[in-house]
Amino acid sequence: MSDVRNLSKVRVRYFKTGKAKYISHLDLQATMQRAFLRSGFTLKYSEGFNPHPHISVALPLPVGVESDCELMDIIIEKSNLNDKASGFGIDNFLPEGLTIQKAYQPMRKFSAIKWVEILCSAVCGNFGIINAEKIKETLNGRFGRKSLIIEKKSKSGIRSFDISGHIREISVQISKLGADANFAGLDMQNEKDGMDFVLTVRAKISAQEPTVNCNDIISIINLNEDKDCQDMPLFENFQFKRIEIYDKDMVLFT
Amino acid sequence: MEKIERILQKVQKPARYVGGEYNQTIKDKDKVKIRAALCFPDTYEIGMSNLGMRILYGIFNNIEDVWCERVFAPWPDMESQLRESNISLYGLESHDALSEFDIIAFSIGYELSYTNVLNMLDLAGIPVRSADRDESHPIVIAGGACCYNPEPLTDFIDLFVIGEGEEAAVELIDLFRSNKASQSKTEKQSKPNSQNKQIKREKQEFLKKASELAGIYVPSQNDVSTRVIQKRTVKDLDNAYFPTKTIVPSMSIVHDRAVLELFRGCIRGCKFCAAGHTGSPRRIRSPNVLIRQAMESIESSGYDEIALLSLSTSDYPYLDELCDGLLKWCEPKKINLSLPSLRADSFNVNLMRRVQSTRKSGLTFAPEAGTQRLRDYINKKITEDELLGACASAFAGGWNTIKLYFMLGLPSETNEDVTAIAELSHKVLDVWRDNTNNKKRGVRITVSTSCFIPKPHTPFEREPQISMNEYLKRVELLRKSIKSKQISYNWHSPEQGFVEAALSRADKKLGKVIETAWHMGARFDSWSEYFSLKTWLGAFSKCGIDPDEYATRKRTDSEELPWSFIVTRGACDE
Repeated sequence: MSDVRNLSKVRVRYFKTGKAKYISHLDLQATMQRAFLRSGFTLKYSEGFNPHPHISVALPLPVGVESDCELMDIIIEKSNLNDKASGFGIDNFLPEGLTIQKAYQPMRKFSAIKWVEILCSAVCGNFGIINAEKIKETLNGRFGRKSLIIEKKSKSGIRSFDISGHIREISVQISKLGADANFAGLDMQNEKDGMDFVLTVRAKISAQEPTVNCNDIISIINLNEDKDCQDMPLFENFQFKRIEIYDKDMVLFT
Repeated sequence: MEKIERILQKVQKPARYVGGEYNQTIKDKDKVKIRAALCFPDTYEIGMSNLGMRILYGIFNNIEDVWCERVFAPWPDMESQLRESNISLYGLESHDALSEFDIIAFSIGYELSYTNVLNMLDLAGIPVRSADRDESHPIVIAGGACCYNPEPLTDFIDLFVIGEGEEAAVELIDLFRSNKASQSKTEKQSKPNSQNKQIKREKQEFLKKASELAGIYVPSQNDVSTRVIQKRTVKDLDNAYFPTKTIVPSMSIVHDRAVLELFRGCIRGCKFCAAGHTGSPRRIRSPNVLIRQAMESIESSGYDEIALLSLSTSDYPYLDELCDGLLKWCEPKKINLSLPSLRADSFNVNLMRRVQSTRKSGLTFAPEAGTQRLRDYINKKITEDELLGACASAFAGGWNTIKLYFMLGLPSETNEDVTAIAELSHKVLDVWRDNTNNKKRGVRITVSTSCFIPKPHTPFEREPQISMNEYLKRVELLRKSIKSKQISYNWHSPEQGFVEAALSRADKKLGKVIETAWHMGARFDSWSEYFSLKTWLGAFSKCGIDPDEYATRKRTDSEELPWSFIVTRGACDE
């Protein structure tokens, strides 16, 4: 980790996993602000009637979604960093599930972010290996279509949206429970419930303009008016995770 | 955790139910001897704002072999998910079911949370009535402001702590530990087939010994017809535990800031005020201790605001000295000071200007009554001149929002007292016209009334509450008397106040009503969106009890009061 003492604008990359996935976007700002303050960093405050520290989070993360690749910019005052803040050791000051990976001087603006790679995972009933293959085929078929219309709820009501150009490199996997180590929580499911397969969809989706979210992926998975697979089970209790973020040329965004 | 995670996807504000916040206490459950669950019968946001909870959490967890966790009342959406999935209410730290704990301790601050106490026990699969619990169940204890009249809860609670709990908490833990040790010793000595009987004695033995401790009331042990219970009082606040290293929630809560407790008790003696009469004597924390605690709290929490807590901030004798010391340290760090509970008769506009340099929030004064006669009678001895003077300096200092709180239905109140509230608020408006520097900005004067609730241990403990209809008549009279559009009038509905009045001065018989109301669906009664008068009236009538007997009836001087065995005068009172 580079020494950030002499920097003013600092980009922080951090994990938001486990219990921390329930911290809302709005509450995260206050949570981070307090963590910085107690670690000894002095944040730069805005001028004006109601001063607040400059903290800006790249892409709002929905409540309940985990992430390995969160980015946040802060501005710290160069002048009075105290000794507690040598390097960037604020992990001890964060709540469970928030962990800093690195801090560095940012080169690009958040608006250059275009794609976010996500993982959607759900445990489903035991429907046998042959069926599993068929489900995989069906989903691959759906995601491969030239036009993929879904209904999106917005403030102005429900509107149709062609999602096909905004999803890339999608892969569908069905594996035996326990083989997928991405979500520790899923491994522990009780086999008595008859839940021993995990459906995992990994995809790069448009992060902004337009924003595709995890629920759009689910609505394709559970597209029930479709006739392409009659035995398609209903997948519930999805868990989501952000894996990585990219710019428009699919180059890692840092 | 996996089962819990699945239901958390379906509820509002899941952060309430997971724990994991900064500074929470995690211990190895195999290494601790006593597990305590500190329960607050309301939401996370309210319970985490409660200083008493934070003090007790710290005190319990400072004891090496004790692990204390937090439990709050799940919001109805979470309750139905828990019930549907058959998940027990659990401690936020370990996510272990409540039934695995040794001690379940409720902090009960207001009567309208009684049904939540029952509901939380039930959600943990623990029988709500003490009589239906056995040695396998945790010991259920309660403390807090409501326990100055414990009678309505005696069916449900094994042991009450009367008064300030920090010293009693440690004594109870010590007793629990030694009792457990001595019981397991006798267990070993006795024959194996009598083991059940031995276990059976452990809880009973503990309760018996606990009932001999000061300030402890065990309904199954203490015969209160012959014995009084003196409330517990912490004598020296400077040396009392104060939680400066405390949990920082990862979601916004009601009081989202660091707090300092300036003093306990009150010197004023307003006749309606339960906190003032049960909290005596006044005990002060020294300014240098407070300043040190402020620095520690801010540094360990990262908060950017600190609130001064007491029943009447302006009665703190070293307020200027304290604020000077705090501001010197806070201002360069951009930490705000907030001063609630100011009295109009000692309002200091220079101080207010200094502490609220960045944000000029509204000011709130509580004259409580409209005429001098009634204010004098209730012993809220603020004069009209003092109130108008405070308003004048506030308006001149740039404030343009003032809230005025009153009670309707105080003993001896007449129509003249009611209309005088309108006159007083018009005078405040005139004072604004004469003193403001900026008439164009306008002014917002808000008058609020609530229905007076007579409380145990106050001089008004035998007084009747006015009926709901009478309250609404007086509201209407006041509403018509307020002519200006710059004065807005809000009144609290009398329905919650009526039930609160009945429960406040309840006797043992009302335990049945509380249980019935809970069975009929009463929850979160302090939340107007969940409170249902119909449910409560239904519960009263099902039990054959008239709520007016408790709320609106005048008690004669000779009548024995259900709480008369509790002595609330401070042990070090004059």
